[in-house]
Amino acid sequence: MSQGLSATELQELYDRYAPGMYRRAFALLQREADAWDAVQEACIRLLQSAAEFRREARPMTFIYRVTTNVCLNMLRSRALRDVAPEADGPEGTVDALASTECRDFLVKLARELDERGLTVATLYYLDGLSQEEIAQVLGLSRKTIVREVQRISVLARALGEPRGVRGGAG
Amino acid sequence: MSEHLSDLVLDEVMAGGPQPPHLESCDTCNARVTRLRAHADGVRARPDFSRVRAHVLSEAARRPSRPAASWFSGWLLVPALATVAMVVLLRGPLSGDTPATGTLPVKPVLRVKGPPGVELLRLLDGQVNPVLREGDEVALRLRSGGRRYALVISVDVEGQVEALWPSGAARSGELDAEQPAPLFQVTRGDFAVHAIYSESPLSLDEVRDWVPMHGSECSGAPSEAACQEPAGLPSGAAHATVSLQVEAPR
Repeated sequence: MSQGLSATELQELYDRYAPGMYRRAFALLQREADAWDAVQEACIRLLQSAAEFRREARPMTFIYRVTTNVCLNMLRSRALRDVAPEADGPEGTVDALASTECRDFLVKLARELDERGLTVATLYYLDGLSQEEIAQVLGLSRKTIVREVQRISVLARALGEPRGVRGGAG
Repeated sequence: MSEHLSDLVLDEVMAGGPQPPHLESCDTCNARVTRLRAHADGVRARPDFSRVRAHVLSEAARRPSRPAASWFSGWLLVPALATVAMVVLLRGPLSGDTPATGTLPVKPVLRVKGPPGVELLRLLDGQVNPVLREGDEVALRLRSGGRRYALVISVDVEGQVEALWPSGAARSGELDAEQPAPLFQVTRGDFAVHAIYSESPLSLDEVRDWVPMHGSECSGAPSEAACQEPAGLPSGAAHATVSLQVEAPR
C-alpha cells in the first residue's frame, strides 16, 4: 500500500468520510456522476498524501480542503465544457435550494476571483465556515483569511450577493 | 459569525469526534446533525458508494507496494543523528554488555554497549517507549549487540506482519553509519515491534513465519535467553521486542 495507508485503513476512512465528501461535492457540482468522480479523486489524493493527512490535528480540515480543491478544479474544467447541472437526485443534497443558489453565486464569483479567493469563498458561502475555521482548513493565517473575506465580500455585494446565501446550520 | 456549529464541526461529530457542549442544548444544530446523518446513511446505501470504494481500493492496490507497517507514515530525514550513532556504535561484543540509557542526545563519540534491543523514542519529549498518541513522531532505535543485520517488523492485533526497517525490503538490512535515523509518525492501534538481528540477512517470509511461533517467548527483557538465543532462528541471531500502544490524538 502506498503512502502508509493499509487497505483496512483506507476502507475505514472511505466509509467515514465519503458521505460528507459526496454531500459537499454534489452541492458544488450539482451532478451525481461528477460528485462521485470528485469523491474518487479526493480519496486518491488522500491516498497520495497519507503522511500529510496523518499530521492534521483536525483530519476533517484535510478532507474539506482536498474535496474543495478537486470540486473547484472540476467546476473550472466543466465551465470550459459548458455542462449543465442536472435535476437533484434523492440523496443529492441536504439544502437543495440554498445549495443551488450558493453554487450559482460561486460560479459568478469564479469569474472574478483567483484560485485561493474562490476556495475561501466556497468555504465561507457554501460551508458557512467561520474565518478561523477557513484558516485551519487552508493552513493560512487568520489575518490572511480576514483580508480575503473582506475582499470577497466587497465583490459579492457588487455582484448582488443573494440574501442568506451562506450554508450550514446558521 | 453564526451562533450555530458549522458543518465542519458537525461532520467531525459524525465522524466520531468530540461533541461540543453547544450541541447538547441547541435544537437547530441537533436537527442539522440528524439531517446530515440521514443523508450520509442514504449515501452509504447507494450502489455508487460501493462502486467508488471498490475503485479507490483497487487503485491503492495497483500502486507500488510499500510493505511498511500501517502506523508508518514515511521516512523523515535525519534530525536525530544520535540515533544513527546508536545504531552503529552498538556493534560491540555481547559479553559484559550493560543496558544503554535511553534518552537523546547520545554523543556519537560515546561507545555505548548493550544487549540487543529495540526502542521507540518520542521526539517531542525524548521519552522511550511511552504510551503514544496518534500523530506522535518517534525514532526507531536499534541495538544490535554487535550483529551486522537487522530486520524490524510490526505486528498488529490481527497478526498482520509488516516490515518497518529496512523500508519496503523483503530481507534484513545491513546496519550502516550512513543510514538516516528511521523516524515515523504513528497512528492509533496496538502493535508489537520485533527487531531480529543476525549475522547474515534473513528473509521477511522467514521472520513472518517465525514470529507467531516464537515471537512471544522474548518478553523484551534483553538478558533473557529467549531474546539472546531465540529458538528457530540461525545461530547468533537475537530478538528484541517492544509493545506499542497508540491512543487517540490529544
